[in-house]
Formats: sequence, C-alpha cells, structure tokens
Amino acid sequence: MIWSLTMSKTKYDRQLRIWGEVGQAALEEASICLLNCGPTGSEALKNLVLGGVGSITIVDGSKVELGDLGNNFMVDERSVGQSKAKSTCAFLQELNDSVKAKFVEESPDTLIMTSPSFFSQFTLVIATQLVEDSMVKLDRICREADVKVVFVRSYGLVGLVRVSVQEHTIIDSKPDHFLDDLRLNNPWPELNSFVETIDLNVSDHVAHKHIPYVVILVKMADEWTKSHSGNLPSTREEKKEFKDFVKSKMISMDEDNYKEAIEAAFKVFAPRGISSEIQQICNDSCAEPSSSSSDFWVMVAALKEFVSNEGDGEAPLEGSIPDMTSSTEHYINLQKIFLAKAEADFLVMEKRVKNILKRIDRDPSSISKPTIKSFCKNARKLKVCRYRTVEDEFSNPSVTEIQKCLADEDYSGAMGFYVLLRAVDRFTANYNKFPGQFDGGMDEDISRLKTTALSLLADLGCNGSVLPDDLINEMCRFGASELHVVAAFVGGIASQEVIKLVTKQFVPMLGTYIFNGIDHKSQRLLVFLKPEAFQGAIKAINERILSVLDDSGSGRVDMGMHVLNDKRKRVAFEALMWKPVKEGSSQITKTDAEKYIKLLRAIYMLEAHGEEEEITFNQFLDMLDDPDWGFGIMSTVLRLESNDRNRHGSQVCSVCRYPIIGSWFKEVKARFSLCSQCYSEGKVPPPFKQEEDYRFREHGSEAEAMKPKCVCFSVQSHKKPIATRKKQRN
Amino acid sequence: MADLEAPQSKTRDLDKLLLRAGNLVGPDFYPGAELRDDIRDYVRILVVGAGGLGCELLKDLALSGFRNLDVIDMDRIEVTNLNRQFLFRLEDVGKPKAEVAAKRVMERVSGVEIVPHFSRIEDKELDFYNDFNIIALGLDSIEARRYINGVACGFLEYDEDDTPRRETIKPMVDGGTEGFKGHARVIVPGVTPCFECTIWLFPPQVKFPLCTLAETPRNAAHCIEYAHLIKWHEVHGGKSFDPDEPEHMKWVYDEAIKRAELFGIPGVTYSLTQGVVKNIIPAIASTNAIISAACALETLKIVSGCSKTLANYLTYNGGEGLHTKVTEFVRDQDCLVCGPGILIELDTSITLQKFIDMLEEHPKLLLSKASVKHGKDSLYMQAPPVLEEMHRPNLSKPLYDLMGRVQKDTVHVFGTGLKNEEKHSSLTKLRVVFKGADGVTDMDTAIGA
Repeated sequence: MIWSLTMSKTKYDRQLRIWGEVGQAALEEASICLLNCGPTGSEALKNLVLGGVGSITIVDGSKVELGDLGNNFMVDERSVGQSKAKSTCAFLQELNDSVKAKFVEESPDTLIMTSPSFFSQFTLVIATQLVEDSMVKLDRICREADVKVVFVRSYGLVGLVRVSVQEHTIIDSKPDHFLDDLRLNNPWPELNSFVETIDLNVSDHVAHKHIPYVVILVKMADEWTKSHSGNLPSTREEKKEFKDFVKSKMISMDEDNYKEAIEAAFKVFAPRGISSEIQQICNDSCAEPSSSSSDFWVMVAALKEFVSNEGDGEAPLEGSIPDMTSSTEHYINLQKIFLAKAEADFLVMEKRVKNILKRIDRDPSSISKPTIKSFCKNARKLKVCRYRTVEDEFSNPSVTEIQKCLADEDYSGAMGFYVLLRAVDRFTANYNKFPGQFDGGMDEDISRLKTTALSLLADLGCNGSVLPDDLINEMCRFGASELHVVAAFVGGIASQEVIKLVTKQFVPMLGTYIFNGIDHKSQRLLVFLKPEAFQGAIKAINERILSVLDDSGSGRVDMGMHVLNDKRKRVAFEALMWKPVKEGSSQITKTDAEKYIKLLRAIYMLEAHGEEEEITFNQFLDMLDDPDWGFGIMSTVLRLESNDRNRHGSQVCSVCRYPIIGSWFKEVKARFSLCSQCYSEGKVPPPFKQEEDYRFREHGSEAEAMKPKCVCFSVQSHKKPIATRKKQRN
Repeated sequence: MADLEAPQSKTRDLDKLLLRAGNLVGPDFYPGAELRDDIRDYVRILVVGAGGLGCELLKDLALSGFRNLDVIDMDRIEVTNLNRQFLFRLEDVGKPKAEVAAKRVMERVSGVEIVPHFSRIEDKELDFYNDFNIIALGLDSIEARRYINGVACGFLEYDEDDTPRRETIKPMVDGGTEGFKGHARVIVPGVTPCFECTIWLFPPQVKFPLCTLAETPRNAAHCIEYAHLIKWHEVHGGKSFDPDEPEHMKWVYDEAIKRAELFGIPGVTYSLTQGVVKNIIPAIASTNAIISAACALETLKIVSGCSKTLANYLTYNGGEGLHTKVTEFVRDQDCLVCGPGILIELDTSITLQKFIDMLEEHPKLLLSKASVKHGKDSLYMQAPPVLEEMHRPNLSKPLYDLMGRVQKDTVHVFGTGLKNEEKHSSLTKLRVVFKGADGVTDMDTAIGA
C-alpha cells in the first residue's frame, strides 16, 4: 500500500523532499573518512550519520581527556583515557544502525605520512584540525586518488572550510530561482499550432480570462513580428509598446491571465539560445569526448551537437511549465505539448549520446535513460566546479588580492584570520606550541605571532601589509581552543558541503570560507581560486548580473548595482564581459557595449572625472583587460547576487525610479511602491507628504502582489502582515 | 594537530574565552573564573522547542558552560524526526520530546540540569518565562514565535523618557531553518527589533484561490487542497480534519486521486498529499546544526560579553554555494509589542467592561474578546468558562480600583485583534493613565504623549 511507507522512507522523509531518492541512494553509497574526531569532526560526521551516509571511518590516535568532555558530545566520563576514535564511533553508531561505522586508532598526520594508499578507498575525506603541512600532503594524495576532500578547522571563535576536488560536475544544480523554459521567443511548430486553435477574441468572458498567458504571449509576439519585419521588441520603447499591446486585449480589469502576461512579457524579449555559461561548458576542452571522458562530458558533447543541429541554438526543452491562470483543459493541453517536445528532444539526445559512446569504444547503453533524461531536463542548469590544489593556493597566492582584501573594510577581518591561521601553524613549527595555548607568556606569544605573521606576509610577497593588532591578540587569546559551538557551526557547514558533493546536487562552495564568530561577518575568500574557477563562478550568476544591459524596463535591470561604491562599478564592467552572446559568437557586440557605456557615463564617468568623457569601445576593452579591474570583485558580485534575486516584473520604485529588487513595499491606500532602500530611509514620492502615516504591504514576489481578490484558503496558520511605517520621529 | 600537555579541566577550551581579556569583546566583559562560575551556577536558559533546533540548542548550551536549562515542547517523537533530532532513537517514538531530550543530554554532559516541560507554551504562567535570563527559540511556527516574543517583551518596562529599563530586558535568540537555508537572530527587547518589528521578513504563505480549487484545478496540489479543504467538509460535515490521523490523510489522498483522474492531472502522491496538507517544511541535520550553533554562541556572548554580539540578523544559504550575511534591522518605534506601549488616558470612573469595549474601537487595537491582566493579577479572562465566571464580577467595577488606585500603570490585554482585515491572536501592552487621579506621585498626565 502506498500510504504505508517503509520505515527508512519515513525516517528520511524530510530530507527526501530535498534531494529525492536518487540523492539518498548516492548518500547511502558514500564512504566517508574523518580525520580527527574532536568536536569539529564529530559534529560534521553526526549530521551525515543521521542522514544515512553509507559508511564512516574515523581516524584519530588520541585518548579522551577530561578537557574533551567540555566540548565534545560524543565522549562522556566513562570514555576518559580510552580511544577517542572508538568512543566517538560507538556514539555515532547509536544514532543510525544502518550506517557502517569503523575507526582507526592512529594519528592522521602519521597516516598521511606513512600510508597514502589508505585514502583511496573513500568517496570523500573530511579533514579536520590539520596543520598546513598535513593539509598539503593529504590534498596531493587525494587528488591523485580522485578522492574529494573537505578541510575544516575551528580555532577559537574563527574557523575555515575549504573544498578540494579536481573537478565536480553537476547536472541537478537546483537553483533557487531560474527562468522557466517556455520558448515564448522561439516557439516550436506544435506549440504554434496549439496557440492557433485558441481565439483571443472569444466573446465568452469566462473563457477569455482563462486563456493561459503562454498562449496570449506567443500569439501576440507572432502578431508583433509580422508587423515589425520579423523582429521581436528590442528597444525600451518597443517593449513598452508591446506590453501596452497586450494590455489592450484585456476586456476587464480582473483578468489575471492578462496581468500575468504583462508581467511575463520580458520572457518574450529574452535572448534566444543557450546562456554563456552553458556555452562555456560546451566550449570546454573536456567536451571533446575520448575514452576517458566521464558520463557528464559525453552528454555535454551530445548537447553541443544538439544545440548546433536539432536544437537550432537551443538546449533540449525542460518540459515543465509553471502554474498559471488557465482553464484546466488548456493547461493540461499545454503541459502535454511541452512534455511531448521534451520527450522528442530527449530521444534525439539519447541517440547522440549512444553514437558518441560508440565512437569512443564504450558500451552505447552505458549511460542510463534516466541519467540522460535528467541531463536533458537540467541542460540549462549544468555546473562545473574546479578547485585549485591547496599546495598551489599556499605557494602561489595572488599578492595583490591579499593586499586588496587586507585593505578592504569588509574583507580585512576574513583575510586577516586566513593569514593568521597559517601563521599559527608556522608558529607551532617553531615553538612547539600554539600561541596562547598555555596561560603564561601571553605577551611574548603575541609579539612572536605578530613577527611570524609579518614574515609570512613578506614571504608571500606582501611587504608592507599589516595585520590589525586586535586580530593577533584575539588569535593568541583563542589559544587553539576548540569551542563546541564554533565546531558545530563549521562542522555543520562541512557536512552540508559533503552532502552536495556526494549527492551531486546543489552547488558546493567555491573559495575558502572564513568563519568569524566575533560578529558573524564571515566571508568567502575567492582570491585563491584559479582564474578558470573565477570565471566559472562569475558565469554562474551572469544571467542576473547581465541584466544591467537590459535598459528595457523589463524588470531585469539592476541599476542599483552601479551606484555608491567602486566595487559596484567594477561589477558593472565585469558584467559586460559576460553578456550572453548571440549565435555562439564569443565577442561582445558593439551595440551592447555602446549602450552600456552610456549607462556608465551617466553613473560612473561623471563621478570619476567630474565631466563627461567619451571612451571608445577599445578603450573600454582595455579597461576590462586591466588586471586591476578584474579580480577582487567576485565576492561583491556574490553578495549582490544573494540580495538581488527577487525581482518584481516591471515594478519601479516611486522614489528612486530604479526597478525594485528584493522586497517591494506597496502603500495600501496611495498605492505607490518603494524599494527596500527607500522604504528604510523613510522616503515617499514627491506628491505625497512626508509627515503622513502610511501603511505598507511587503511583497516577497511578484506573484504575491497580484493575488486574486476571491476568497483564499490559508495553507499555513500564520498571516501576512502589513508593515506600518509611521512618520519619522525627530 | 600537535596536542601538547593541556590543563586537565573540563572547561579547558571555554576558559580561554571566558578567563582571558580580549580586545574584540562586549562592553561588560569581566573575564575571570568568577564569570565562568556565575554562568554555570546562576544563569538560567529556557529552550523553547525540542525539535531539530531544540535538540542541538540543548547540546550546544550544555557544552558552552551553562548548567541550568529548561526545555518546553508539547510534541511527541515521530519517526520523521530521526533524520535530524539526534537525541531521539527509534524506541523513543511516541514519547514526549522535551523529556527524552533532557534525559539524553543529562546522561552525556555530567552536571547539567535540564528541566523538561511537556506542555504547550501558552499553558505556562507568564511568571514561568520571567525566571529565565535568556530564552532560546527553536521553533518552526511563526505563531509560536509571536507568542513568546509577546511574553518576553511584556516584561519590558520603560522609564518616563521611554528608555528601556535594563533589568526588565529579556533577551531572546531565535533560529529558523528550511532545507539548506536558515536564519539566526538576537532580539534584545527595547534595544534591537523584536519579532513583531520585522514580522514582514517571513515569506508570504502559499494560498490557492477557492475558485481555482473548485473550478480550474491545474496541478496535484490543487486537487489535494480541494479534497482537504472543500470535499472533507462536504462529506464529513462538522467532523474536523486531523492531519495526524492516518485514516484522514488516506481519505484526502484517495479523494485527491479521484479528482486528479477526473481532470487528467498527474502527480498526486501520498507523500505530496502529506506535504501539502501538513505544510511540511523540508529539514536536514546540517542546517539545524549550523543555525543552532550560531544561536548558542550568541547566547553565550549576551551572557558573558566575551565577544561582540550579532547585530542582529544572520541569514545562511547553503544551496547554491555558500552565503552568510548579517543584516542590522532597526526597531519599529511604534511596535505594539516591544515599544513603550499604547498610552490610554481614562477617567477613574471607567468600568472594566467599558474599558474592554473601548479596546474594540481603539483604532490602534481593534481588539475584541479581550482578557485583561494587571501585573500578575488577571482582571478578566474570556476563557476557560470557570475562570470567566470567577472574574465576571470585576466587569462592573472601575478599572482604577481594580488596578489598586495607582495613577498610572501597564496592563496587558489579550484577545482577537484585527490587522490587515485578518483576525489574529494578540497580546498587547497598554500604559494606562488615569485623568484627575490624585496620585501621590508627581508624574504628570502627559507622559509619553
């Protein structure tokens, strides 16, 4: 019976809803090795054991001391004097008996030195509390054996997490927000013929308001192109005109389907074809299949062929459609048409995959149908993550980037602690103890650590850089303590990364995460990445960043990015580099650049030079190529990214006139809209009075804002509030 | 790591933080063994919820130097908890979460005292909450957070110049997770925004219009909600639907399947039916561990001042890469919950009944069916019936008399508020000032106006 689920399905229900049975199976096949089972390591492992990881092997040569009882839940009074690995293993086994739990009573440092082959049996190694020398050696061993590594360290109130793997490819990257694959700008024949069967001018009101917006937009885009020599709307004016055209077809104000069509009109204007990120994956040298190619790259090779043949520039259709106002019949029919096209695309892809496999002397059926199907469904969301080796990171750092971070208010703490975490290892090598490990001689340790850190910086080539004394003092105060809560935090992050790496779902972190438990202003330092990884990361978000080029009022323009500080300006420059290119060209089009320069001139040039200054396309490219404009902005971009995801169709802030991104505050009576910045600054549009009381409703998404007026059932018990902002005091 | 001779003390690691002076610390940090011992001996923490976050919080606090903990949770252990609530085992299924969680942590961390409360949070006296120095919230419902927030802010008193009185501040740390995402925040009532000041942070609920469910279902969730919200009532009349009753769930599932077949809609599964009907939020161990650790760390920092405090809202997103971000939200000065309160001027002759009627018409309150509490004394209670009857005689008495003939004081009113045209339970603070009362104090009646 369906409703009597097996026990394990029930037990894992809450996580199966995240990564599904495929993800769970991957987890259950994984074999994880933990190095050092202090709180950092054992907390990381605990989260994986609960989730049902296949097997664990704990490596730790130490005995449980009294001090361990104060920070490690896996050991108790009875285990004092016994093997820490054994005690931890016993407790973890208690949490989930379907996990195979083993332990090795041996120091990880020794094992790394004497038995490198030991590590090749594992899927992944969680390496905790290792000093630099062991990190470098382990990383080298695991790269050779194709074993993934997650490094974790907690040290007082700070910590570090770093993933290391040659290459991690992801089919099912599960992005939070992603544009649906509706092909409104490029409909295929079957969709067109379905659309033709529906009359937009139907006289029945009920029927008129139940025509799905997909049909409305395909029809109207077709009408538009017929009267515009085959072109879709491209200029700002044209786009506005198109929306007005759609609006003109409404016969009453309560037609949600038309409101949805106007909101979704930007999907008609979106560029055709695959994104630059997918283009880059197709262009990767690995996409030339050979007998040693992984399944992923074989399928990418097939994708590449598909795009330039049957796909006519597009990837296989995803096949699903979002919910939209519609009659049941129209909706189901649409669903079937999308599914049929996706199935047809899949069959073509499957054939191509088989042919490629034959070509490289592999069994043509060695890649399963479900895998190819999943690949097709996610073809627009593929991800490739590559990581620099730890050795390379340590011995060839980017000097300018370290200096830049140390001088940057937002990054100096994270970079300072990063340098100090390396400095304490050097200190230990010299003095045979960690700074501040013992209570006496604190002042001496502080000055020694300072000297050590400065000489490390000098060795790295960062002469003249200084570290704040506060950080050095804190580092000595921490005295290599492993606090339970810091361990649980960074251990938790490590286990999260392990899950992503093992299930091959979601996207693992890039760079080095420095946890700052002092004010929680933790940062990911990306400056240690290889240039390719950097490019991969920036491409990962290009769709959103690129929207700076869209001055169309489509709601995808983020002008907010340009203003205020240098970093944002750099983002703007960077953005242009990754403009999605048409028809596979890898060049930036001149019109895009010129349009963009206009924007920049308005925002940047005036400010920078005090007067308007013409720059040519080539000068602009020179600026882009200048290394000073390049790196160092990544984290800013990423920070912007996390805030700027939520857009609201064409909503514009009534005060600053920028498109609203993130929270959208709509005044209940006067009905003007504010972006969160203007809202928080207490601004109201000029025609309204500052001193009046206004009531705002905050909308998380565009769909939220246009809920129909008919009675709604509440699925949850809580209510959507209105934020009231009263007149400002003072 | 080179493990050299370490002092043999259970507080080996924590001592570094609590016994040593530092530069990046709070303003009230007095490092020393006394601080550590005071935290151990005198600080009392209440953990609200013994679920995914609560289990972690209890462990984290027990290993952060706290000895005196209480935990409150009304739920019993279910099989679906076991993928993350690490204090529970299969054989514990059906037992109260609070009791098992307390027992397990005490077994492993010697010296820790955890008092479990297998109870609804609303069933505890307000005084119960006032006994704790800090309240740590590990909840999955917004309503429960609002309730605790209202209680904690209810203890807050303001001076005449609207500055919060320090000894009445009851700090809270709050965590929440969903899948790979989560938040941790610090609420210091009167100082940082309370839950109610930033209630808009919570995402909008998923709603389906009735007309879609009844007439144009398009997906599996629409069919399930039709069976759950419409069909159930048609068929079962007054019998209320119980999501924890497997027979009820199966009935909804079967009906949803029928409806889906009728309309040719794919995708109705038993798992999805449960997810939609119970509004199941996916949850994993790692996110809970991360968020709880941040909350426990902040608890330690608030108590000891051993480092800076989170100001004041941390978001974590681990799905696409890894993003953590701190946002400093600002207080709503007019917040009904943590603000100085709504000033109400009354004649000394106003009866309690009249006062309760006024609350319904007060534009800022629109509070019906109000119960009134003055300090520890209930002046009137709408329910349960036995208490209603007990307090009924008060209705005809002047409020001034009931409040002990003081010229001004705070009362708490609890009832059904009307906000955004929606009804909700609301606990609100009022500062009542009596006009013309010949109070012995020399405060003037214009206070706080």
